[in-house]
Amino acid sequence: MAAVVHSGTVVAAVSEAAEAAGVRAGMGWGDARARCPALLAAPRDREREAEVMRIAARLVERYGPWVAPGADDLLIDVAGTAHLFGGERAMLEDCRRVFAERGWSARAAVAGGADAARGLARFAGADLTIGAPDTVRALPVEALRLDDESAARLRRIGLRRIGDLASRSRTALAERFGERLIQRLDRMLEASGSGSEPLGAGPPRPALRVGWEGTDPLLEPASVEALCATLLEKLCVRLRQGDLGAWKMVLVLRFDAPGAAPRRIEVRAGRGLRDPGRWLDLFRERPEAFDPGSGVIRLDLAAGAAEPFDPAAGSDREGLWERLSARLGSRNVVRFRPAARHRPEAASEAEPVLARASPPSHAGAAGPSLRSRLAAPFGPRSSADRCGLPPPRSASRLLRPFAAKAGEMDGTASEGSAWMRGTAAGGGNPRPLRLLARPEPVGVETAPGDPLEPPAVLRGRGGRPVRLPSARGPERIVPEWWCEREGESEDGGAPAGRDYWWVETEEGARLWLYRDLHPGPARWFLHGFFP
Amino acid sequence: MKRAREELRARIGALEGGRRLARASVDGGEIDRWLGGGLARGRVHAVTGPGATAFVSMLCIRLRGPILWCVVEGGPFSPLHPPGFAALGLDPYRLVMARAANETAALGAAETGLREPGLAAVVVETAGGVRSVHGRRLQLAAESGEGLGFVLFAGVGEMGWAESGWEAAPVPARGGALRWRWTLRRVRRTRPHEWLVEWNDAASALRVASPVGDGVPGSIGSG
Repeated sequence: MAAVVHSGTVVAAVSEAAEAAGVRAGMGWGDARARCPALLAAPRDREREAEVMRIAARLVERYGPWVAPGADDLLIDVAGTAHLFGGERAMLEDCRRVFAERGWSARAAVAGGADAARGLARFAGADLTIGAPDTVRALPVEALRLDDESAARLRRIGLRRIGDLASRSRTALAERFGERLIQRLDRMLEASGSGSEPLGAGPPRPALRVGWEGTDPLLEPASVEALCATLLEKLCVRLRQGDLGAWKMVLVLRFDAPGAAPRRIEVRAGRGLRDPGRWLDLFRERPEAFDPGSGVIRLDLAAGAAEPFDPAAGSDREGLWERLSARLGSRNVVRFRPAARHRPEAASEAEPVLARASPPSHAGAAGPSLRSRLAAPFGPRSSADRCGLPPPRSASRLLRPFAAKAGEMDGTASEGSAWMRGTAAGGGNPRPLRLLARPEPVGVETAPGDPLEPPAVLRGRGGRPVRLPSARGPERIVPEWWCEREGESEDGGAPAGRDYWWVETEEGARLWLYRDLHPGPARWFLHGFFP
Repeated sequence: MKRAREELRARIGALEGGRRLARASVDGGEIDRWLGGGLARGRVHAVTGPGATAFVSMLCIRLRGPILWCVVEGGPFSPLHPPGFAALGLDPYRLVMARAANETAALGAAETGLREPGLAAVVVETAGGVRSVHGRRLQLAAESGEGLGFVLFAGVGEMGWAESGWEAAPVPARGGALRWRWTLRRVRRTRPHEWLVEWNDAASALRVASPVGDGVPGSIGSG
C-alpha cells in the first residue's frame, strides 16, 4: 500500500490498494493516514515522473504521427490510424497492454476532440472509453478543467454534468461564469478536431547506422578496435539524441581479399543500452570481432531494436548475462520455462536470457475512423488530480516474455515463478534432476506374480544384473491426443504412452525407468537420474 | 573442549588476518559446525559422485539470487531436467544455464560469473575435475566477487586446489526419506569427515541422520 506525498502534506498519487482503502489523491496526509493506518508514503520524485512521461510519449508514437505530452497525460492524434490496429477499441486495448507490460496502469479514451478525450480518460471511470456524444455529456463539470470555485458554484446550482450545461442558455452561462466556460464547453462538445490546439511533432528519429570505408586496409586488431570504438561513440550520440537505447548491435567487417565473405558479428543487451564502452566490451567478448583477417576495408555498425531509453532499466546483473551471451552466443545462455506438454523431454523449454518480446503484429482492416484524438493519462487509478507514480525500478524485466515479477528471480518472492505453482513440477510425482538426452534401452525383469509388474532386476549395457529392492509407480504418461504421432515408436508403430517407475538399486542409485506401452514384447528404457 | 577449540580457531583466523568469510549454511547443524559455519563463500568447492547435482541444488535452495550453471555440450553429464529441481524445492527460474562448446569456455564462463556479486552460486560441470591452474583461476575469481563456486566432476579428480572437496553418493532410502553419504575428502582448516544426510521433503531441508559412529553425533566415521 503506497501513496506519493507531495510537498510533505498532500497526497499526490495513490496505489490501487490504497485507493481501495479509501485514500484519494489531493487528501491531506493526516486524513489519508486516518483512513488507512498501514499507509506508506514516498516522497514525490518529479524527475522520475518526467522521465516516465518521456518514455511513455515514445511508446505511444506507434498510434499516431503526433504526440503531445502533458504533465500527466499524452494526447495523440490518431486520425486515420485506428484501422491499423483493428479499430479504436483494439487500439486502446493494445495501448493498455503496452503500458501493462511495463507494470504501469493507464486509462485511455478516444474522442472527436482533444478536450473530450482528456475528459473521458480522466472522468469516465473506465479504463478504456470510446467517446460518443452521450458519454461526453455524462461527464462531470470538472472535466472542463475549471477552477475549483467555478466547479463548486456550478454544482451548487444543480449543474453537475456537461449535458446539464449544454442545455442551458449560453448567454446566461457566459454572464455568470465567463466566456471561457463557453469556449471550453464548445471544445468539449465539438465533433471534429477543428478548434483544438494543434499537436506538435517530436524530434525526428536519427539513422542508427554508421560506417567507414577506407582505401588502405586496416591490418592491426588494435586499429579495428579503435575504429569500432569511434564509430560506436558516434552511434551512441545519435541514440542519445533520439532518447533511445539499443538492444542489439551488429558489426559487419568487409575484407580486402577478393571473394572474402563479410563477417557479421551481432551482440545483444538485456536492456536498451547507449553506452559506447559497454557495447565495445560486448564486442571484446568475441575474439573474431577485431580480427583484421586479410585487411578490413569497410566496417559498418548498426544499432537494432532501438527503444525509448530508460536509465532505470536492467539490474546490475544484466551485464553478466550480456557478456556471457556475447561470448557463448545468446542461444546458449538460457533460462527454463515450463511447457504444457506431457512428455518429460518436452516439459521445459530453454529460452535465451536476453530474449525479448517480439513486436505485436497489427492486423486488421476496419475502416478509418472519424474520431481523431486519443488521450491516455496514466499512473495510479485515482480521481481528478493524478500524477504518474514512479514505476517499479525493475520495470524493464517485465518487457521480457515469461519474465518473473521482481524478486521472483532472486528467490525472494514468496510464491515463486510459474514453476512452483500448478503441476509444472510433476504434480507431486517424482521428477529426476537429470534426464538422458536419449532414453537408453535397458533390460528389465519384472517382479513375478505382481499384477502391476514392477521392475525387479535391471540389466544395463554392462550386463551385470542389478537388483531393484524398491520401485514406485507406475505413473502413466501419454502423449497429448492432438499430437499422438509423437508417441509413435521409431519403427512407425501405433502411438504409445509410457509407464514410468521410480526405482532404487541396492547401492542406492535412484533411477527413472519406463516401459513403452507398445503392443508386443515389453521394452524398457532408462530415462533419468533422481537426487 | 569444544569451546576451547572454537576459540582457538577464532584466534587462528584473526592471526591469519583474513577477513571473515561469509558462509553458506549446509544443514543448519552439525555439518555447519564442522565447517565453521557452512561452506565458505568467495571460494570454490569440488563435488563428485552420483549425488553431486543433488548436493549443489539442495544447498542453493536457501541461498538468494540466480544460479549460473555452466555446462559443456556433449559432456559426461546428462542434461538438467528443470521439473526435478522444482520438485526438490529449487525454483528452476533461478537457473541460468550457459552452454559452452568445450571445457575451457565453460570454465571461462564460470570465472566471469564468480566475479559477479549477487549470484547464489556458480556451478561448472567438468569431465575429470580441473587442473590446479584452472582451479586457482576460479578461486581468484571467487575471491574477488564473493561468489560461491562448485566444480562438478564425473570421475575422480584432483581437488587439492579447492576450498573443500566432497563426494556425494546416494544411500538406499528403502521407501523412506532420501539419503546420501557425504564424504568431505578435503577441507582447509579442519579435518575430513563423513555424514549420512537425509532430506526432509516437507521442509525442503537437510539434516544429519542416524546418530552412530565415533562420538560425534550423526557421524559415521571420520577419515
